[in-house]
Amino acid sequence: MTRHLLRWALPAALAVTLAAPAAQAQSDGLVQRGLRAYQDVQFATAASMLRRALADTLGDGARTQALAYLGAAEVFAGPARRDSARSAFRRLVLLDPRHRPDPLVFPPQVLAVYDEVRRSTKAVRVEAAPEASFRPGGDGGGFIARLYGTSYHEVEVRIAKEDGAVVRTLYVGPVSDSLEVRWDGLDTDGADVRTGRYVLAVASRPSPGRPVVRMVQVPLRADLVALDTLALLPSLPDSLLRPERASLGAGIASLAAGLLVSGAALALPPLIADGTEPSGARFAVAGAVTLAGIVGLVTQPGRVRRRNVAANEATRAAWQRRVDELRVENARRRDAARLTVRVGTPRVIESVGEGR
Amino acid sequence: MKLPVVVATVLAAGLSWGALAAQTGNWLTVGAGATGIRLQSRSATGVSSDVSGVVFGGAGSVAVGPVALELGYWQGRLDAGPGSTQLQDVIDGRALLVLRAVPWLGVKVGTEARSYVTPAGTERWVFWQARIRAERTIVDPSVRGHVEVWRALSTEVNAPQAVDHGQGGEVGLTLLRALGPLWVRLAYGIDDARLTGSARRQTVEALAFSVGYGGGR
Repeated sequence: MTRHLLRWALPAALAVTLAAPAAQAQSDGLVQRGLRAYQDVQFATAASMLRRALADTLGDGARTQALAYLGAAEVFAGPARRDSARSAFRRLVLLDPRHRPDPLVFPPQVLAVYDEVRRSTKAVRVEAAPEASFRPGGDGGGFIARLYGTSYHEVEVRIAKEDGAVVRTLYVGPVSDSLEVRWDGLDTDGADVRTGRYVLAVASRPSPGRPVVRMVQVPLRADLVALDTLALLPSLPDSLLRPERASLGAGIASLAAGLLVSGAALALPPLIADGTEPSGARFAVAGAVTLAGIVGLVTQPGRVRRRNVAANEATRAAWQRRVDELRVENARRRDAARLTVRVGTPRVIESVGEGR
Repeated sequence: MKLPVVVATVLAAGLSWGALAAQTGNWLTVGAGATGIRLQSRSATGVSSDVSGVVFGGAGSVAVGPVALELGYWQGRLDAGPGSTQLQDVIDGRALLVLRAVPWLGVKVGTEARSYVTPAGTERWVFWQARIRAERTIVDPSVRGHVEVWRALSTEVNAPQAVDHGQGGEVGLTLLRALGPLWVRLAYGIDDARLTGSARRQTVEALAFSVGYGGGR
């Protein structure tokens, strides 16, 4: 059984493995034959071969070359084939917006058609590294995408969730040749984005206010690895502060203390030396203490309690220290956060119309 | 020194130094002034005297944390009035160990020795006493009042009779920060000592005015 499987499976696997390169080699051969037909001024034959080659698998370089010669062949095929020429050049412009046909190879009438197509095509090509890892909100770094424009037009570049909700607008304005946009991993409010799927959406408009004609959506997978930040302290509660001014109660307490001490002065002789005839000296002290109590009753309410003020200042300073420590700790935790963005295959939506 | 006094003194010192580790702050207080003294003495035989005068002296204390040592000395002459020949000198000295467990309350243990010098001889009283002193700010932060009472744990006197008891008290008012670090104090005090069998009773009233420097305690 095993021997039987090996007898058939191995050649089949080998055939599958070799099939793709063989098909590409065949397409490349078609491209070369198309180029020779073009150089032999057999434009219809050249166009036919190149169309067949483009229908198969081709590398970007061969595809670019094939489209350029296909467009030129269609130009020379006559006015009736002009739309086919424009179509080929449009495919070329979208494939490589920066491509310019070699003026030493192609005559001016071909270049003119190509330029006309390039100017009328409002599109960008988006390129980005497959993966970027950086600290959200950090200086430098971030997720970088390069936009290559076919011609001067308006673009809007946004990071959005899968449901279309905009997370961050990275750029709104014109693009001509190329543009670099950078995303620091934060949303519009400056907060770290959560782990999830996002989209880098690039909308092209011919000019501001005109409908969107083309949109490129690049899927992004964002993975945030971060420590939770600590909850910030609320403002210092009043319950932790002492009253900085004395109340009426302080005045009453002063009077009560004065009266109490005064009473003690009057009560001392009968308590200590009952039966004696005390002098009037005690009245002097009792009167002085009572007077002090009355002064306290009048002056104490509203008086600034320096000890409490100092204690409150210390309390506030300690509170502020805790707030600062929390900020430092949260900053450290935020600095330790890493956002990894993985880029998927771009998707193009043509003739979007109004909207994003 | 008798045993109860020794025990009380050692106990107070131990408690004081135990609490010392938890508190800080050293202060020195010195003061001096004049005290109007009135001495009333009545015996069972009906003999009585009432002399008065002014004594001068000073007191001071040094504290380490909650524990303080308080010393005082007063001396002056008393008489029965103009033209009287009944003169006697009075000399008073005291040494007390103070434990201030809380800022407003202090316990004192120590001795007070008092001598009455008359032409007939000198009578010496030694009171081993325990005191309690409470303080309260009346006008924050400049006026403070205090009440202090004491009871003799043991009393010695060079008289034929033994001492029945001795006790006293003081009420005063201290003005702080009126002149920077200086304080001014007005105090009224009274103490009463009796010999056994009501043989004799001796009462001293004092109105003291003093000025000092430091903590004002």
